[in-house]
Amino acid sequence: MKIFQNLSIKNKLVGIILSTSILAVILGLLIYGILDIINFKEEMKNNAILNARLVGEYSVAPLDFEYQDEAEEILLKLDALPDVLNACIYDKDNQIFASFNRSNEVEISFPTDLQRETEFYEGYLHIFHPIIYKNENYGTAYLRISTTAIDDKIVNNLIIFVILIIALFFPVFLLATRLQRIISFPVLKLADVTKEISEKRDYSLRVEPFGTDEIGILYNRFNKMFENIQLRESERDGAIKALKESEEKFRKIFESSHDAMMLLDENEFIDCNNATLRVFGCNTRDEFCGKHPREVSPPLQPDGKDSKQAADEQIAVSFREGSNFFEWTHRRINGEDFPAEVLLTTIEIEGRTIVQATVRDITARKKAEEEINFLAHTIRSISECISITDLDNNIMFINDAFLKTYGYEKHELIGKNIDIVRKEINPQEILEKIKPSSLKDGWQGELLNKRKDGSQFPIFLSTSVVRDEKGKPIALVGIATDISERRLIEDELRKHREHLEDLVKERTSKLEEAIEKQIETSRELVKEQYLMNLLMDSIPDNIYFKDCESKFIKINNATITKFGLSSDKDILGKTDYDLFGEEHARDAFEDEQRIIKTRNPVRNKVEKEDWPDGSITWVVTSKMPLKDENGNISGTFGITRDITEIKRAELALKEAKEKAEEADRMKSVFLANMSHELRTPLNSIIGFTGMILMGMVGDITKEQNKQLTMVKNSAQHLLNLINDILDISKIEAGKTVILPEEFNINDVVQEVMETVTPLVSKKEFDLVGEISEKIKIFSDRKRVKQILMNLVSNAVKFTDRGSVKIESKVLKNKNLEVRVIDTGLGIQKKDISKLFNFFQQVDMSSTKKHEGTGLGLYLSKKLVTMLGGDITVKSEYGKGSEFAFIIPLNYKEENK
Amino acid sequence: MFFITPGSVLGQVEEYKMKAVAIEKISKFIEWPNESETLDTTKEFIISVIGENPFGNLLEEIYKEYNIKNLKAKIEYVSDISENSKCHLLFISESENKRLEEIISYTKNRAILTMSETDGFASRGVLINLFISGNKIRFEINETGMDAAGFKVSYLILRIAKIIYPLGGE
Repeated sequence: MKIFQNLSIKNKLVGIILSTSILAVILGLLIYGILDIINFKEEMKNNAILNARLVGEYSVAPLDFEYQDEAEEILLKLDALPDVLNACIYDKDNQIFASFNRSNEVEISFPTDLQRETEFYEGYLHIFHPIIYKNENYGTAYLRISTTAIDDKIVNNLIIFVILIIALFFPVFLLATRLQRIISFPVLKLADVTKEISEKRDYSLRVEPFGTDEIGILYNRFNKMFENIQLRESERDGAIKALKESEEKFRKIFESSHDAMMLLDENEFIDCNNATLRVFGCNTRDEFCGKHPREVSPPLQPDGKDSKQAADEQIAVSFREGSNFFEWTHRRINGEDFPAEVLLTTIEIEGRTIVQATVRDITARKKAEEEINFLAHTIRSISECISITDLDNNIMFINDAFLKTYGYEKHELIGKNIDIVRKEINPQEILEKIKPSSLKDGWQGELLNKRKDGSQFPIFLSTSVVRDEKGKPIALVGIATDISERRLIEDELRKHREHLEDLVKERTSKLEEAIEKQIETSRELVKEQYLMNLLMDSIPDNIYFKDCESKFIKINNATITKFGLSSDKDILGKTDYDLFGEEHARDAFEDEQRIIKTRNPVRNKVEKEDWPDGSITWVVTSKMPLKDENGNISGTFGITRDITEIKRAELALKEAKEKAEEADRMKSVFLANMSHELRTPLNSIIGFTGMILMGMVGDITKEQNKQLTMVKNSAQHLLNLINDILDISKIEAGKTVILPEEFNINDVVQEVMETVTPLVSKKEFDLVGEISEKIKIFSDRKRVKQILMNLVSNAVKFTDRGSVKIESKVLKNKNLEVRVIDTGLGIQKKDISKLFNFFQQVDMSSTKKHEGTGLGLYLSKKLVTMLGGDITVKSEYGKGSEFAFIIPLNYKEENK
Repeated sequence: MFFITPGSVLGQVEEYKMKAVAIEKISKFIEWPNESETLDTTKEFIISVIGENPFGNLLEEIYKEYNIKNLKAKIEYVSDISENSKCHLLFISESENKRLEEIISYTKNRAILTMSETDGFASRGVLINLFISGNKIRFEINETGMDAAGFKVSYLILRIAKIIYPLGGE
């Protein structure tokens, strides 16, 4: 590189052009050559694949039919392609099926790994091509192809490159030599002109520009530069003159200044003015100059810093920032210290940077400031609220106590009228009096003021006037004291005094009341206790209290007696186990423990008590949990009543009832048997009486006929009575059997009507049977007829005029309803309920008129019930009755 | 029954297995006239054997698993050509020697590929004739017959077949 830098511009340009052109050509050729080789290889590969495909296609049939010779023959055709060195065909199972080796080539072992892609490796191109016909795979064709053609191609390309580069070199060289002049000529010319200027020092010379390209611009810049240099030369001469004048001016100001002014470098004062000598108390300049600032200062500054160090720091600051203003304590030559303001500024004098210091004695000002600060601080920290207002009452100053008391921020009050804290809550005439009084000799009094949040509080205000030196009033000062605390205390004290007496009175009366109440309460307690004891000891039931372990705590008198004890002290600590037999003791213990655990009482439990002597008593007991005053379970208590006597009576009653029922049943059996025995002789009586009445034995007189008829009727009545009793007895003895059959209810109604017709013919009414349709029923025909017969004959019996109707119909719930409606006597309401009772006729006194056994309805009801039905009656006294029975159409055993 | 034919070391079963398989292999390289209609993909490929059946049940066994021309195969056996209404391939048994001309005239215009295994049948009009040579199945193709019937034979198979020109020069 060094060599290149030292070459002339001409040679540099030629070198650059030549090397650039040749590099471009080489790069171009190289890219072309590489692309050419790649294309060549691609073409070679495509050709080989095409060949492999052809071989594969022709091998389909030979592979399919396993004609190896045919396949070999196809491969032999590859001999015409000199690049193909070896070839083979694999079958489906990747076994070599046929192969080909060029005659002058060594036989190779064909690859067995067929997964390889078609590619160049080991100096050859290897082609693997699948043999596919109609989507079916038959095997693979493999070709191994020589790549010598590629190497030849590369060599050829290289030769062409070299020839091209050599051929290009000479024309490029000539062209570059000529063209470089365009750049190099103006540069050389510029160099000549500058050389001349620097030699002659004549800045008025110019270069002649000849174009606007970069070289032209460069010429213009050079010309401008020369112009500037020329101008600068003349300016410098003027500046030197001006500087001299200004230095003289500075000196004049320096000398005439009232402030002490001095000049210093990093180490010492180098000059000072007359004022300096006066301030520091020096006689001559030489006495002051040459000193370091520390020599005119106390050893330490008020802040405790070493003066030399502090001075050097301040000087360094001024050097850094150009100027520095600060306060400093100086010491005069006579040893007196004084405060001063110091201004340091850097200035340039004769090319040197030095510091100009101005020192001002501020002793007097400092003193005044301190005084004012002290006053202001004092006022501010006074705990009274101080406000200063102008003569228009506008606030000029307020202290911290004021802000704190009134809850304002400072800026919220300054400039506002003082009335903000007192207007409207004080009488206007008082407020108006304040200012004139203040101006005269001050005002003092109590006022109400308000805070920012609106709350009010009383203050004691004292005002005075502030005057200037000439005695003219300029402001008003107000001092306010918050007296709310004082007021409160005063109020409290007053109230306290007033109420103390009342309080004492009230307390005394309350105490008396309480004592009285206490006495009353105890009295009541004693009374309650007395009643309780009376109850406990007089009640015949046993009352007892037990603890959690079921040990007795207390028992009443009845219990003492029951247990045969002499006093209730004897029971303490004993349990049921000590008194009763094991069985009852255990039951009671378990009950009590359960009560304690669950808190559920036992109520009215009937218990059997066994005693050690083997006797037994019966009791009914209630037991409850015993709670102490806090609600905790502390045991149980109970009350027990002896019911041994009641229990005994109960047992006797039960026994008697069982006996009575047995007797009743025995009676029914007896009656059933007896009735049968009774009927036989009665039948004889009726039969033979009938024969006599019919005249079969011989003629009888009218009187005999009459009496015999009475005998027969009485016998007949007796028979009916016996039959009814027999039936009832049978039913009650449980001997009646229902014999169901299918029959038509119309037939039964017909039969009944026929039977009663003789009775009807003696009276003046109609007997009507109304049957809308044929009703078939499965039931006990005999019993149904008996029921109907009873009802109808009753109706006929008690009816004198009007009609007796029989109606029957099928109800929806598969029941038959038969109704017997008459217009007879009727039944009184009070008698209806007794109607179906045993031996009951409505009008017992009128029985004689209406003969009957009184058993008919009772029997009918029994029978209907047996058939699974029910019998009902409706009646209005004097107008008639309606009896109806309902039985199921289909009698079933379970309907009974 | 098992016997050895002269010049062959193959068992008879082995030989007919090869022939049965050859039916499918050869069919693959042959295009039926108007194939998209004659070989409807929804139907079966019907192989009909006429005369004495030399295959036993080999055809059924083999074509249970393999398709022919992408169709399921169905095997039929007929004794008379008039029974044969619709088949795609007709295997003519040696027993039909005398009735061969009658069969050929029936199949000629019906897109039926005729096949046989009898020497001389190809030159008498059968389109494919199978034979065994060097333990391998070989076959003759009656090329003019194929052209006339509208069958197209792939050049791939023509290379390995023996081309026969029928007598009489039809």
